[in-house]
Amino acid sequence: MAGMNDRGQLIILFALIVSGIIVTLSVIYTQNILAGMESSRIIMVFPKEEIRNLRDIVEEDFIDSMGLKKDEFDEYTYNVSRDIRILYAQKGSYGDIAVFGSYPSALTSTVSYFNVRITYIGGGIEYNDTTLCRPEGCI
Amino acid sequence: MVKAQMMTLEGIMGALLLFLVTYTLFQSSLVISPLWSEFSDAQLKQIAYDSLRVLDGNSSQNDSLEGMLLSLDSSFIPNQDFINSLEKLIRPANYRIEIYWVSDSEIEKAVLVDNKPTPEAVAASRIVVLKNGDLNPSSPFYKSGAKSYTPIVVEVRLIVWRA
Amino acid sequence: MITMIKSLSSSREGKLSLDLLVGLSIFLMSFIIVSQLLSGMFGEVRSEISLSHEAYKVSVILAEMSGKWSNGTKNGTDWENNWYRNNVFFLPGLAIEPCVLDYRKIQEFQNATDTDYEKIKELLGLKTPDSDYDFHISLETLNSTPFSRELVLDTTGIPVLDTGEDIPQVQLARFERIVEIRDYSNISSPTIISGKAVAKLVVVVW
Repeated sequence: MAGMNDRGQLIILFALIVSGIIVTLSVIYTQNILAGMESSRIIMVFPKEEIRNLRDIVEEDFIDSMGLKKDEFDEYTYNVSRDIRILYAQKGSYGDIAVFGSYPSALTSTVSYFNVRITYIGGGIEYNDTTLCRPEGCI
Repeated sequence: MVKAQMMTLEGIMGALLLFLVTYTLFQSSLVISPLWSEFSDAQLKQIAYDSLRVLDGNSSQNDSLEGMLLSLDSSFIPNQDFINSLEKLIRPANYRIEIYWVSDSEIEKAVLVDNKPTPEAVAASRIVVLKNGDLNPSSPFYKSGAKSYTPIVVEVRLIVWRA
Repeated sequence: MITMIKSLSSSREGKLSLDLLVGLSIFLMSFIIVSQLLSGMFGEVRSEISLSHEAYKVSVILAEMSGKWSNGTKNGTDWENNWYRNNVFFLPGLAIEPCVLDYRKIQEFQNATDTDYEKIKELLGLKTPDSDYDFHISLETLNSTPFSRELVLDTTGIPVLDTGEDIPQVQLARFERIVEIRDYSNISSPTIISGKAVAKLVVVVW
């Protein structure tokens, strides 16, 4: 009986040591996997392309519409902004391009420059930018 | 005494074996499987965004996003030029295209290319602004009675996955 | 269980034999040595992770930024006209606007990398005191795959962009971007998609 107990204790001791080693190794292993996932997740989640998409709409479609009269231009940009807010809301983020000032030229009453605020909130990022746009481009 | 030496030898052998196994495990498989599939998702997503960006911007081209949307009719089948160009861009991957737009403050949805995505699929989207005046009256986006400059905002969603 | 504890507490002889102590100490010593070796291995794993991130970062610099140069007193984004001067630091972005590349910048990037690979490596952030990565950057057609590369050629048959170290047969990270090339009159049979000359910018880092 005594001899048998000796054996058992040895086995238990070794089992403890080996399991301890395996636990430490697996902890380090999972940490590595998590680090890798984290870095590629940042690439996936960061809304760089969405923000750029909003800017492109301002720089292309809004500027192309500057030939409209001021009230037509305001109606146009208001509609675009409203639809964009609705479309982003369904994805659980907030995106908006709001024109908060448009100024007609004295001669033609078409828009000569306008102020726009680009907002994007989502993916843990809050982006806010205000620019002034002329037919040649935005600053 | 002989037994004790055997035990020591056994201990050394056991230890060596254990280390050999862990070493080869970490050397060969590394962290490749989970990490690299995640990363190739990121790559695929970026390609999808890049493709949409390339396709956007020139409504006079039949294979651009605007050109495709303007030529849509109620069957919602995109023109062949567009499909060819898109397939050139995202080639080995499989894809699905959905569009969303707002009509009377309600979101409308249509599926242009209906393939069933796998669970690993990633999505990219791009918002395109059309003008009512550019649309054919038979177009599903056409707002009758609206002014020619009335905008129609369409979100094109491209879902891609490795075939 | 209780009887075992009782017999243990009443026992007058040690349960640990010399064999066990010797075996255990050998085991633990070799474990310490190998764990040091292991930490080196984990270092490799970590660099593996950052490897793909570095490839992504370089692709963003090249495909989405116009670049910048400065010599302390003057600066600008036209690094392609100034990179070869003395004391000039520059960020070699190839874009006019995001994902639209400038043909001249591409050519000058090729020249700059061929002239001083090590400097470009530093400027792209691939060489820091803790890390040192090598890279290869090329413009390939949409048909190109890692196994059969198809470079974009100019009208004289020379690759438009194919620079950096030769790609070795080791673990490497590869990141592709689809880019438009503005002013593509010098490119032989470009792939045109919705009126734009399109190619793949391939960044390989190891």
